[in-house]
Amino acid sequence: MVAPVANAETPPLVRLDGLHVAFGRHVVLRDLNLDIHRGRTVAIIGESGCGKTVLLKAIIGLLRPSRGAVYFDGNNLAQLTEKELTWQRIRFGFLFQQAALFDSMTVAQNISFPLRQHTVKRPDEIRRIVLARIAEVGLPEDVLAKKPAELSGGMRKRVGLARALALEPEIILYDEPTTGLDPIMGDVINELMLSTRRHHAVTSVVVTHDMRTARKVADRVVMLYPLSRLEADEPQILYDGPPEAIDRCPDSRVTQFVRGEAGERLMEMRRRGMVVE
Amino acid sequence: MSSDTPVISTPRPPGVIERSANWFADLGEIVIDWFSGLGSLSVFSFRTFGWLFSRLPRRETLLPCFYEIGVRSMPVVALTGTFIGMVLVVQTFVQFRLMNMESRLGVVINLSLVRELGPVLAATMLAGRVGSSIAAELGTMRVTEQIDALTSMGTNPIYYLVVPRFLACLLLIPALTIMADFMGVIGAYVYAVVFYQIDSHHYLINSQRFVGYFDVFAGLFKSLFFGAAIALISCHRGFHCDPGAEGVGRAATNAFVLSFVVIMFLNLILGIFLDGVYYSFWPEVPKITS
Repeated sequence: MVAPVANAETPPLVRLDGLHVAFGRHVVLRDLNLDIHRGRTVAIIGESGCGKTVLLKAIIGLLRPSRGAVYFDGNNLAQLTEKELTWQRIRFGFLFQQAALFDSMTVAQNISFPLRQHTVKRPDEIRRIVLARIAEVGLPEDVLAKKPAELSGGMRKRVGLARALALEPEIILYDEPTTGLDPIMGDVINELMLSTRRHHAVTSVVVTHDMRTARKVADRVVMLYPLSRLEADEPQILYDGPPEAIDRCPDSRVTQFVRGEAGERLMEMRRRGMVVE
Repeated sequence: MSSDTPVISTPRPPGVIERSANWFADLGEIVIDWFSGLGSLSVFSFRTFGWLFSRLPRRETLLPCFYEIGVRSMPVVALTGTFIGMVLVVQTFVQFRLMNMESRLGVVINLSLVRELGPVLAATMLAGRVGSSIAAELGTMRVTEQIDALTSMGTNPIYYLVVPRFLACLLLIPALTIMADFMGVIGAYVYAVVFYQIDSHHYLINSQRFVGYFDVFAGLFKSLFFGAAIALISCHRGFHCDPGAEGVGRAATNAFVLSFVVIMFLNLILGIFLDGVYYSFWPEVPKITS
């Protein structure tokens, strides 16, 4: 199956309208406006602490905006009842940074959990879906009986992806999918994200600070910047465009991040005495 | 002093007014935190009750909680109940013998066991064994984003995690209390009869005269409140756990300490209430010396 191509006329699947998220006095996201269209893969990049994960949790309604709104398929998530929000959430798949598999359950029980909770499928049907998902993420059947503690980091991520795919979601949110993995396993996860998009026609939002992942899987890159280092009137999104054009961005903060150069940051840290010469 | 010696100015110590103001500010912060925690626990409890009356948990989530909380707590409650019964005999025997009232020993011991020690002991063991474990388990789930994962999959974590634990604590603490009462009574009887040679017949007859159904009911009634308090406090602590291993450890400790304080407070309040109920129905009090 080929992912549908979005055009300007189709309404976005996710719309952030002046999104503002604060924890007490600490503002993490300020007046963000972003449209994510169906079938597209958007990579949200930025250094640690700039609010990428907070943005992802706001998109699925795990965090309520202090101001502004998150619209999913035209519904303002903050105005939905608990039951309505639940029905919207099962249209999402979420791959957490550490996979967040349930420790007390086996791999099979983890993958079948959403099916057991939200469908009335028979056990043999559920078993068939679990086998299909585990094969899709390239894991052998014998891992199904194992507990998450017995798996490596890469295997956990793949089980997490299989669980996220269980209910055939319309959108998948990936929170730093390659963090903590070796380069080979990181690339395996990148390939899985691409094949998931091909086979399930899903919209994807990938939060990452790994530029290889962003370049490989995304057709649009959005770069966030920590508010603590921005002027009051500066927008928090420093770059929003195709991955191939990010190297030519005139903003030096973007190019330094893309190239992984400490540059001005190091000079600033030296000025503050945070780095010993 | 030479001119090139640096002059080090020490900061002026705060005055009495400044120290008092700081003290009041700290006190105010503690009071605000306390009320905020109480408010959060109340909202959490109402949400739990809301789920309890709208949709019961599935058997496959309920039964493991019943097994872990009820069945696995039985041995430790039985053992401690036995020792408490025995030690009560040891502590009271001498005084009763001085009054030549050894055969009435069972009255005091059995009454204290079924009304106070049985339910409080079962609740304390439950808070220690199960409450801390619930707080640590849910705290770990919070820290490792498993609770967020549940929510993101459209499953309400209060419905899925809290309601089964609440029901297990609420419904099984009376069984644990009966076990503590029973083993305490048996332990006390065996110790009194075997080691102090108290007449078995009079020990039992006197116990039967003074320990009534209401006393057993009072203990079981109180235990329901203890069970509910332990479950809600422990789950709340776990859900609001601070990040990291230290946060999980603190949540487990706080769950036990807070549960224990609440058990003691509820025991006093319910004891006064149940005494009021008892004396309004049966104003004639039998004398232990008669």
